[in-house]
Amino acid sequence: MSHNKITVCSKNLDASSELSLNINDLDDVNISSVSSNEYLTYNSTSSKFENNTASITYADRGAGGHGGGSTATSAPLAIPNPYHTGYTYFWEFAAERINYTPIFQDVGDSNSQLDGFVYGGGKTQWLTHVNFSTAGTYFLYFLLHIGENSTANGYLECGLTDSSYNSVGPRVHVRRSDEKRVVIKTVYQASASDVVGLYMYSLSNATYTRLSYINYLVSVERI
Amino acid sequence: MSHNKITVANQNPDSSGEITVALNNLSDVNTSGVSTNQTLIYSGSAWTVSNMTSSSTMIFVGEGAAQNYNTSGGSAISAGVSVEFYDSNAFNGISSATITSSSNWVSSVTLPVGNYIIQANLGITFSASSGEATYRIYVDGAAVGTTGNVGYSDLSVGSPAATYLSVTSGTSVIDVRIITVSSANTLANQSTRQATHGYFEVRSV
Repeated sequence: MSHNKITVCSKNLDASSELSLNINDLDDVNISSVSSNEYLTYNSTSSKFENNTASITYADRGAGGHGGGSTATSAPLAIPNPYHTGYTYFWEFAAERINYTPIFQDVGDSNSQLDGFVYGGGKTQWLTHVNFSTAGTYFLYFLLHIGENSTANGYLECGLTDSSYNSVGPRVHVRRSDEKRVVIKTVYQASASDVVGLYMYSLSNATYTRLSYINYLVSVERI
Repeated sequence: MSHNKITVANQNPDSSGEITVALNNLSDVNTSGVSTNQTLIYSGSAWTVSNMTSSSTMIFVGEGAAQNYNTSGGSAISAGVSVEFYDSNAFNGISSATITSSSNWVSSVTLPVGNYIIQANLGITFSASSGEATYRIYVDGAAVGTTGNVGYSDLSVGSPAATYLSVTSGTSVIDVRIITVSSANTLANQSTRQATHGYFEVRSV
């Protein structure tokens, strides 16, 4: 049998016995419609390396509100959170997706809508915590706003904690009279399956915020 | 010559003469143990699989633990003093950077050559409603960047101090110092607010 009966990755030797292979010819690679600056990442479903876009941040932001309500409310907030039965000291973030682009899906896979972000109380658009399915170091950056229906002396005192409510970053304090949003951030060195949420240490005369307000940002960045 | 003399990347032809080659068969690639969304990274001698990460990294000090400020090495809050930050497990992801601390209270950070964005927030308590303080980031003893502020009515933090810093040679020592202050509580009465609310963040860019 002669050499020209040999094929490599379904490619034949040419007349000069040369065989040219591209990376996409390899058995475990599937590149389709690739653009500049894309990466090859592994897909365990297809068992192939596939081209994907990638950038730095993994972020979501949402219109304000709480508990899935569709209108402004003056109902006071309460501790523990009456809206879900799991991590009842975790605050909920709105998570109505805007310009959402999943990047680091390895942050978590527990939610089909927003990998790594877990929703509570049957309110499917409300984030209660982040579940790190993959161990790693993450920069967490949350933006929180106190409801405009809070009384003038209303405030929230909160910070990021793990599932046992141990602090994992600095606390913040936001008051209605300040008209403030606050940034809550930390670096978290996660083990697989770790959970981080926004723990409410104390509050007074604070209410939910209006759905039409864009008051929340949740960003998880692997560093 | 028979087929069984031909191999490509140590792969033998099948009965039809086809040789299938995968990434992991290549001599300079090792994909063992790969999981979803990992990518190929060059390690200096071979391509291996790894999680994708940001091209920048950071230092973050401030775990939010309730520790009285009088357990720090810091002096009473007054103009010119350096303020310390509490963290029992401060994150330092910047190569060759060092964190100076004692009993988990961080007094300064030393940064190597590089470009950085630095931000700091203080949690100071006051004895009167008119109390307030301003502070700045210091680089090798010189103030840089914007002024942060905290007041009695803020309860926790006001606006952070921030700066961009380019270290062009050697190293630079970074700390945070009080610029002006009025009606600050004594060291003994500062309570836990700096430990629970203060943070010091350095990001290499």
